[in-house]
Amino acid sequence: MRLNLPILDQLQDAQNILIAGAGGGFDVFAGLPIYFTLREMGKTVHLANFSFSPLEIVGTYCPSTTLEYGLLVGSQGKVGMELPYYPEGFLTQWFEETQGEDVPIWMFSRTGAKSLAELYDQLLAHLGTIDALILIDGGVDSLSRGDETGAGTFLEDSITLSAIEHLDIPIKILACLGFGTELEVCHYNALDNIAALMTANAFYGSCALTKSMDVYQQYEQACRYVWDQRFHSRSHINMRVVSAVDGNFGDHHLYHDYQKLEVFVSPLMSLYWFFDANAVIERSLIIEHIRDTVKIEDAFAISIRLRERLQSSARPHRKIPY
Amino acid sequence: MKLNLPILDQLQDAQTILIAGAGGGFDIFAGLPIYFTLREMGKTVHLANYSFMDFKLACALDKPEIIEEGLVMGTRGKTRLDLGYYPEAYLSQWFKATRDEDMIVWMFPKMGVQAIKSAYQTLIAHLGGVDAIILVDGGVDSIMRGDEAGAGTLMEDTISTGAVQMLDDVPIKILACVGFGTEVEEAVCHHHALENIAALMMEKAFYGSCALAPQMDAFKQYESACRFAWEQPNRHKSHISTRIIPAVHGNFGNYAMYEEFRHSTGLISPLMSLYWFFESDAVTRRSLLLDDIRETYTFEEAFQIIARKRISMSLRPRKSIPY
Repeated sequence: MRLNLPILDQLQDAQNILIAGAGGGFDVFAGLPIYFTLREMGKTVHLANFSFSPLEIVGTYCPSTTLEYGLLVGSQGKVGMELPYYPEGFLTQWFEETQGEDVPIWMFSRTGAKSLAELYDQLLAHLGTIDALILIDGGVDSLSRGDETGAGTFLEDSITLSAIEHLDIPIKILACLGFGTELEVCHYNALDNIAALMTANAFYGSCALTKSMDVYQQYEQACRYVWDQRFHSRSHINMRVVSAVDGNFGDHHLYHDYQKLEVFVSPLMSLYWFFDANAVIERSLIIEHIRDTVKIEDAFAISIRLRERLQSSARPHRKIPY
Repeated sequence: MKLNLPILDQLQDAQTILIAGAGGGFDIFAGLPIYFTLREMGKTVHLANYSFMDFKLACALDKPEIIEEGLVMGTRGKTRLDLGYYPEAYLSQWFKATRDEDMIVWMFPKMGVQAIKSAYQTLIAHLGGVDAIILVDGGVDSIMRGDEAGAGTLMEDTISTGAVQMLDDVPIKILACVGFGTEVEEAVCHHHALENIAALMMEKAFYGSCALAPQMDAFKQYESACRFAWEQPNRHKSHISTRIIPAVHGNFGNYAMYEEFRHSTGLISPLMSLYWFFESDAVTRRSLLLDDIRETYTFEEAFQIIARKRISMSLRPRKSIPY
């Protein structure tokens, strides 16, 4: 069974596509079902991620391609050592071991928006023509404007959105997977934000992952491969997505060591939501303030001040009354 | 922009498709975006509805095509008097008025499982056979098993899915639900709807989702048809589609499309724009009520059996969605 991506109209003439994790961590994994679907259609697809991996270490000790030392590194081949956190490297290793393919994951360092914009420029110069960019968020907090109670950890997503704004790429899409996976997010406000994007004709449609889809099975396999590396961290988001797509419900945990937090695994987690990334940028209350930040700490400081200022008018935390 | 139906693999070899409203009322309207998408692909698609229209009244005021009296008839919208409630006829009129097409909308009477099974068989024979049936539910109560505290008005849907399950000659049977969150009056518990969807996912009976978006041509046609049917004096309106349409346009919260719904809007949200597709027979296999009503001919028989059964069942208590 194929994944019924709703964005094929937009991507019709795009031959070279970059899929980039927006919010850091394991986000790029949430883009894998899209990656496999577009590859199957004969497109050239590259993978990148706003990365929490130790880029200096992996750039020095693991096989990799360094475009900018410690700031922009592509994983390569086998990791070759035990690392507690290196999802991109083990994903590349998975590609090599199971598919016999050399698929670098381009890792952007956790920097401010201005620096990240330069790194995107550098990556695009290295890759050649890119006709479409798909930013991927595991969860939905990339849609947060900044005035929500329960906005999630949206700063990283906002930095990425800010960094890609200037890029001369005709198609920029934001894809969110895992509605309900972020325990700290108020999904009433997320729905409010989705609705506003619908009004702006910036909603490009949805699709759901199902167990029968090849691309889902490959995504699950890649996730489990990385999670099952000795001592390696796992993704809260993708674990819940996988649980949900497999048909689990309620307080279900894929791994026993995560049972401390009560979760509500549900089919809503299986859904992708696609948006015009430019429209998401336009609605953000924070991006214009962090655009010139060099370091992520600068962006954090600005974000904290701004959130304090918005607090009096913040949209309250509400429940979905269904 | 096209609607990205997830069921194209299943329908690949199906040339003739019957889309039928499962739960009565305006359900067939909720199938229109699917209809237009499949038509656009060159398929032959027929429309039918489990109907709340009084067949005798319809015969008196309309010139329906009667295939079997009291069991299957089709309206071409040739009504002599506006009753306020006759959604199938208004839909046919819309096809004529806006597309200059003579569309027959087929109607099944509000009867029990055996009668509806026979009605489907009669219609399918009249149509020369169909390769696939897509049952459409405006809302999600068709996936209720019967043991939910907020099960909605699942009886009509159970009758339709149960009747279709018995059609051995139709290889593909799909249930499509649209309008998660719209069933406010029915007090549907969506926690249980999600639990039921999850169970269907587990047995690989979930075929995927897609959402309506305002730019989609198939959505625009659906909205146009709904408005045509509703926006006349004294017309009944669907409380499901009057929520789906503003949701797709991006309205949020306490929004009423028409003044008369101002007092009971619930939460209009993007979740209402989603279609969920299932293997229909898997849904019926999970039903806790179908076996008891499988032999019924009249709606009243089925109603009494289910009312009694629900009293004796221990129901899953209502729960919220903690997002």
